[in-house]
Amino acid sequence: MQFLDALFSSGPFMPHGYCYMWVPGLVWLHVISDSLIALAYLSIPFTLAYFVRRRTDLPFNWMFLCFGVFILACGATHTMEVWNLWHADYWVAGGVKAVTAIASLATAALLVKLVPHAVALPSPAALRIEIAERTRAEEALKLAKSELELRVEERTAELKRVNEDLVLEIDRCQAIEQNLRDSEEQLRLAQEASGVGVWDWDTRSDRVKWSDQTFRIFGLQPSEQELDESSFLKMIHPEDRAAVKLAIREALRPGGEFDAEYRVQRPDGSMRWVLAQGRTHCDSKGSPFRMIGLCLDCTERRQAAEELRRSEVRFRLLVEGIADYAVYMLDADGFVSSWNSGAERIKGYSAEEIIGQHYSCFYGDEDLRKGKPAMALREAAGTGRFEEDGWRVRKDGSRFQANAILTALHDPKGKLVGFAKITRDLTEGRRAEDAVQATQAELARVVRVSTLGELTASIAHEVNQPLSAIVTNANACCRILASPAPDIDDVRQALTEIVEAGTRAGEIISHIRALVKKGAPQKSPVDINLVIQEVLNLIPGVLENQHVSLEMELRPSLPAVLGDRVQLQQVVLNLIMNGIEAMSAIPDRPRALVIRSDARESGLEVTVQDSGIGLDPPNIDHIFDTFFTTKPNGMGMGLSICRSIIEAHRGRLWASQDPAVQGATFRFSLPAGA
Amino acid sequence: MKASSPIVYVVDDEPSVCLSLKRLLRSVGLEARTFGSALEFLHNKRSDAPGCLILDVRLPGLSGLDLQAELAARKITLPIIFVTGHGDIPMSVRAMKAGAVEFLTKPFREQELLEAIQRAIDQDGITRQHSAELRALQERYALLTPREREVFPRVASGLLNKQVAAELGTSEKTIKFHRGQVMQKMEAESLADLIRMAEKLGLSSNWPRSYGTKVP
Repeated sequence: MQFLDALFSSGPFMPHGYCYMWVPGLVWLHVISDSLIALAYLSIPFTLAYFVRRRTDLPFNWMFLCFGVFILACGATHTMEVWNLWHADYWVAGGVKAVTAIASLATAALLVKLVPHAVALPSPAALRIEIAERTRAEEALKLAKSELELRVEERTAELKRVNEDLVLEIDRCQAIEQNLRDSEEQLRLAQEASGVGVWDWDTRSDRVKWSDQTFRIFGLQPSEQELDESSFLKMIHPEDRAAVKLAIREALRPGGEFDAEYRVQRPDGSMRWVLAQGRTHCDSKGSPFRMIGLCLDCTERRQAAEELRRSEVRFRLLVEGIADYAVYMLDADGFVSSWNSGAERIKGYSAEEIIGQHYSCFYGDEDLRKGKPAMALREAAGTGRFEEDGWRVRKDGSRFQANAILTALHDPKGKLVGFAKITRDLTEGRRAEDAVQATQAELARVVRVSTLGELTASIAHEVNQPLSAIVTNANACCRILASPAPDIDDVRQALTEIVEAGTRAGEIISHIRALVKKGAPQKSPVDINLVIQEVLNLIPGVLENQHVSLEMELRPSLPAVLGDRVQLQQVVLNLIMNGIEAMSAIPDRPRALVIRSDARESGLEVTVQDSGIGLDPPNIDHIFDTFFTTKPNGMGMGLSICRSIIEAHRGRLWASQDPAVQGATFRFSLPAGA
Repeated sequence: MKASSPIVYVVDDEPSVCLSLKRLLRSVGLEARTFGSALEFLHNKRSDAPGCLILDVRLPGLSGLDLQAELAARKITLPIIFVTGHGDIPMSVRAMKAGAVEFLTKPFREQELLEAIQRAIDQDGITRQHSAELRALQERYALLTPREREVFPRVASGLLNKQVAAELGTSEKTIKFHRGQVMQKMEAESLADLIRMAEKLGLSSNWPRSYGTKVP
């Protein structure tokens, strides 16, 4: 307190005014000047403080505060100057000056330090330029910004559009996916229903993927199991394996297609036919990487096709093989559409020349004029069938009597599609009947001859038995008589036996003669022309078969003869057959048989003349002897029996070799019936 | 072997033929027995003596060819001379194929008939001798023990006693004994005799003669 008292006490000093001598002007000059300076100095820090407070962004604002303190201190010294005019508190005034000095020194020092920084601060011009630049940049920026905004807008619009498209696309994709699912389902159903299996072979990794149906076709349980080529080939029938392998190899090229039909050996042992088709996929270099395709069990189809083919072949063979009938088809208008071998044979046209021709060419002119072909078609179309016997014309123009049947053919809807025609050659039929009769006659002849053969064997046996006994007994007798002591009784016995045997042999011979003659013939009036006719009726076809032309010169109203009709028939038959046989060996001249009947003084005469090999003159006298024959297989009985018969009828049978004609002539004469 | 006189059998339905044949054969010193039918012949006992059969082809009932077949079926080896009144080629071929000695047609030529009969009797004699020998051998063979039957074919095939012993797994001495027994029982006078016997009995053929033994 004392210090403070000391401080503010004027002590021994005198106020400053004393120095001025209280000259009012001088005092007032100092008072006013110092007060105004102090006022100014005191106001500046406030302004600075205000400035600093308002411009917080100013660099070095602490410098302003320093300036504020320093100026405030300066203001305080000037205030003290005013005080000191009346109050001599020089210690306080010195203290204030000291504070001011410190603040001044500090500010000065700080200012020195600050100057380089302050110098670096841009000048207002630079700032202006910078500002201008910045403004320009800002404007450019603004421009760019607006441009950018425009582009963003555009992009946004674009994006929006794209987005809309995308939404549409997604919808479409979903639709497609649905479709795909649908079609996959449909495909699966189709596979199941049709039995078509799918296979997919990755040729590079050799993996084969199969659809369920494919597994089923191969007789396996559907599974995810993947196969390879060799395991697939193993399931194929060994006979088809090589062909399938080859087909695969050939298909493995750009655009290659696999098409094979093979047998599959199922695990249960059954065998199925499989039809498989596929296509090869290749990369850009043309090397194959995938083959995909279908397969189908075609066993039933094949069997059906095979059955159909067989049945067609059978039918075709059947129809074609019918040689006795012309079997052919006409279209609805009567044009020939098929032709069998029988038709070719009967009508003379080959299939090539007649197919496509109108069937009216088989008709004769008069039938054509009457419109018969069209009428037949109409009739058949109307009633389903038309049959007639009539004349038809062959390719060579010759005619034949035919039986023709026309049958209308309709499709399942009842529409007329054509006609089946069967034509039979009736003349052929008659010829066949003739041939049958000829065969019968031939048979009859063979029976006759073999009966004779039997008879001969029997005769030989019968006669040879006693002959054998005779010869053996005679031999025995010779030996007995040649012995030293011949047994005469035995010889007598042997001779008795010889006599017996000899007698028996004679009996056998006469018995046979009796058999042949059979006593007196049953006689009744006979018309010899009728007998000849009857004989010819007995051998129908024989003359034709042997290509023998028959010439008959029968004189009508010949006198009747008394005789055995059957025996006389035998004679005529024998002569005719002999004549035919004599001609059978001649190929170079006409075979002609002449049968003539004529009246003679005492009765009649029949001549049978052939153009055969003829008779050797030395033989003419012997040919009627029993067992004489010139034929390789003859018995030598026929003519002798004939002569016996004719002689039994009090007639005569003889042969002659007429020099005017080749061949032999046989004649027999019979007395007029009495 | 008993040497009995041969007998000629005649089967013919014709009595005069039978009688005349009997007389002829008697005149050449042959005994003949005649039969009217095949069945009559079959029902009668035949002699052991060698003989032959004169057989007519055509017989009532069983024919000559039927009788030939029947005899073959009964393993009766009587040689047959066929005779017929009316022979044909097929018939004679059939008869000859079935083993007939001759086929003659009636009336016979005496010479042909007698020659055929002689041939047939000779043939029958040989056959009978063979079968009698075989029968005797079989009787002797039946006396052999099973061991001797093993030794027999081996010895007959030319093996030495030593080899037989080795094959049968016994000593040479034993084989020698068995061999002696076989020779004695079979009544063989020499090894050659024994080999012939084995051949007739059909034993040796089973044995390959790998040791090159020559059969005398």
